[in-house]
Amino acid sequence: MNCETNKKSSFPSWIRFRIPESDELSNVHLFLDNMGISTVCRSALCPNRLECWSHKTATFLLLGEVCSRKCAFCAIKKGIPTPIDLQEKDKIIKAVEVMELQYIVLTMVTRDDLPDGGAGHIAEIVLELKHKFPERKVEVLVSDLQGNIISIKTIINSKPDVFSHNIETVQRLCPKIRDSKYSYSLSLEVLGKAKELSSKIKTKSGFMLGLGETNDEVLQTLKDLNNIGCSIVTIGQYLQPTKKQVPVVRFVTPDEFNFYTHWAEENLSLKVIAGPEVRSSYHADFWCKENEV
Amino acid sequence: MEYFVRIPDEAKPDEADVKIQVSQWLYKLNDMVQKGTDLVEICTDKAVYVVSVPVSGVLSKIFIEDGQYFSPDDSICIIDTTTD
Repeated sequence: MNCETNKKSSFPSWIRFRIPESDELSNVHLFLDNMGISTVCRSALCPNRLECWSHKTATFLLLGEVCSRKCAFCAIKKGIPTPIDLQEKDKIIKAVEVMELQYIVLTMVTRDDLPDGGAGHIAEIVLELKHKFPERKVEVLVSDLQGNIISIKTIINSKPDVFSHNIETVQRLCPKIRDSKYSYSLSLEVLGKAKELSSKIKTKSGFMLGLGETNDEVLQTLKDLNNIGCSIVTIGQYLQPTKKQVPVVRFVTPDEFNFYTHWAEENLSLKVIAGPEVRSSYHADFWCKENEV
Repeated sequence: MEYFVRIPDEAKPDEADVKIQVSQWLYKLNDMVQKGTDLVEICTDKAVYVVSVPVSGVLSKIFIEDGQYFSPDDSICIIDTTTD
């Protein structure tokens, strides 16, 4: 995808992200750096991060910056995870307070090295957030927690408003795109279990297009997510973060993304938020308000 | 006054090997540029980004031409904000 003469020729006209003017950029990332808080916005080189920071929002990345799995699409550092930051809960509480976040999104690196996959740590933070800010909403975007029912239960019992786990791609491409420890069926199982444990909770998932999937495979993925009671699905264009990750197979047009939103509206009971720029927590506050979370 | 335009710190890629390329200047040398309008398109491996004009003035010097790579700390152009 990377033409050495002019990289721009590698991208269609709709893949454009605006860098806000300096005075629009808030000091969100500096504040978070000073606090020692990681964000998935930066770790995953999200192209929306400047827009989100200028709106004073961010998605907190918990349990360190090093992931124990090696997904072929992801820019997050891989290797031996770092020890848990025991101050992380206090830092997040402080950040939520200072940033006046009304909708809080917590995500995590996968921690296969921890017996509970990090569920206890996440749950503790959710519980504290709910205690301190009962009127604010909390969304957790977690790993598959190895399908461990006790870990899933730990998270659900902390009462987040949204339980999210990304399926990332269609079933056929899962072994190529995700780490071999992930599986399509296990991801569905995790989301299904979460819903079984709490019928009140909204479950959410997301996947990328442009990795070589067919239209039928996308529709099947939406049906599968619908069948396990998922409420919200985000679909966005995969963008190769650096040359170390798998290349983009195809840029999906905005019309195709719109088709999936409308198709789901007509055929399923889940809300699909789709577009080239959509990421799992992009405008999460807005979409969850729209969906009465 | 000469205003040296750099990519905002927040926009800098964290990975040292992420190269940034100037894709296309949207103004020509010596054009009057208006704050907030689109100044230049830059490109990483991941996407194309549009950088806005930070201050109004005259685009008096372009350091990085179309197709050239630059380091995130480099100034890419000068805007002369002197008004007669």
